[in-house]
Amino acid sequence: MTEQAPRLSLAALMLALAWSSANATESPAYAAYAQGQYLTALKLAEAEAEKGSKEAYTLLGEIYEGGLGVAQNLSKAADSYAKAADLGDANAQFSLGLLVAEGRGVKKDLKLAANLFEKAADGGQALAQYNLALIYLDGKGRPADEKKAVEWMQKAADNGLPLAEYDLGGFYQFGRGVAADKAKAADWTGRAAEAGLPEAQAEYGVMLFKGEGIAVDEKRAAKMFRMSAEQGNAVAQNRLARLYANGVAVQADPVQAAKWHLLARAAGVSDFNLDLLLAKLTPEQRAAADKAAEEWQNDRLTE
Amino acid sequence: MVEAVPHCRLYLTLPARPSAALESSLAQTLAEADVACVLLRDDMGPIDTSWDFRLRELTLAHEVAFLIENDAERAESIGADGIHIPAGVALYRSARGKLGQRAIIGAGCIENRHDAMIMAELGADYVAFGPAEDESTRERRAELIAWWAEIFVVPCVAWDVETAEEAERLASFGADFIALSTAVWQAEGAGHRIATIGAVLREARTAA
Repeated sequence: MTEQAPRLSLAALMLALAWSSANATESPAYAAYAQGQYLTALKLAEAEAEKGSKEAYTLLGEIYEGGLGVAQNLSKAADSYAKAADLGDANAQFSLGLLVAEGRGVKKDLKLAANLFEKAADGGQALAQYNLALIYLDGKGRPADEKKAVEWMQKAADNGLPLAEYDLGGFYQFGRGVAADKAKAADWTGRAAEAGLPEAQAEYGVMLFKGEGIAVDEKRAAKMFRMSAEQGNAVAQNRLARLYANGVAVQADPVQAAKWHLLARAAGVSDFNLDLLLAKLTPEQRAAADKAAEEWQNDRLTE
Repeated sequence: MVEAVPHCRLYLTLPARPSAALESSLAQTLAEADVACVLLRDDMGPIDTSWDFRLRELTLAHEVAFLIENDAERAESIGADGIHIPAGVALYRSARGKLGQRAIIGAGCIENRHDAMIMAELGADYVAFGPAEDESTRERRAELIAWWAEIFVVPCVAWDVETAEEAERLASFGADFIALSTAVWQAEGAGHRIATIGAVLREARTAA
């Protein structure tokens, strides 16, 4: 009944660009951009771009793509990225690749997107390496090739991209493109978990709990489930509820069990045993669980 | 409230004897539908321990609760989550004595208010209303479910449901679980038919 956290799915093509711009070279235009002074950043970037700065073209692309201080203009964004890409800017090659992959502001063309990702990936751009891996996995834009998917995923993971660490763990777990290796699966999933990725925390929690590829550590598993649950992962919320219901690794606490079960169930992960537990609460316990769940959700909404 | 939507889910009842068609339909159902619980029916014949074992493995893999009809020792030996018994004070007490507080003990064959209240009072984990084989018993079942869901917190199961329309109607009356009739497995394309009923319940959840 519990849905597994989606792993190795292609839905992740849309990624925050903050990661790429964080790596960009410091310049007056970028400094203004980082401070949220977008119109100043736009002017400075236009001037820097005229002098042939590829980073400035990339910044222009980001300003137009995000509609930051200006009306969003995807075709202008694509033009700016294209200029920077021609000048060899890996971030721009990646960003243009995303626009082309999704057909935003430009004609959708998965082959071209793959070529752009490859250029950026060769330039060490981790998100591009990650997306190129997904393309090789999916076989859209390039012929499917699990070995190449693993190679690029490894590079992105070596560059410290948590999503790539998590998916590389998945390759080792399911033996896709590599020989299955539980220890390596646990190692890479653990790195993504430590980096804060909620799906990885839930998965790593299961590995620690069952001792798959790593020594059993229920306490640490409970900690992983909690961190993931607090981030809204429904599978982890369900696991945490079970620990509280059965008093495993934590003090048994029916109210906490009910709280996390209600949250997991509202997010689509239900559990027969925990449904039955709800009915055994006293009215006071039930009210306390409802209140705790509601407060958790309200806190999330105001974050 | 965190959740005001109904969360009615499927409760599968399996015949005592396995068959290739049944196992393939079951695998399909568990893969596609949101199933809460699987009950292995009892036909009073010899126990097929390998069928018990396969079901325990399958339900664990899909994280679905697994119940055995009537037999507490059998449930314990295979590590099932609990048992389903007909409503009855002595039966319930004996089962609870054997299995302890942790196990699920559900009470079925309930066709009147009195039995349902007695079983809930004793500590049954759910009460199941049914069976229903004709128009008048189906109406009776619907009335009992609507009444129960209004007043009590112990979950109720609508027993012996055959069609998606019935499932939808009983869910709207407040049934917590829809137990499909064991006979649904015999129909042509059972896996698909059950998945359809599951989809109707899911739709009812998301539409609310």
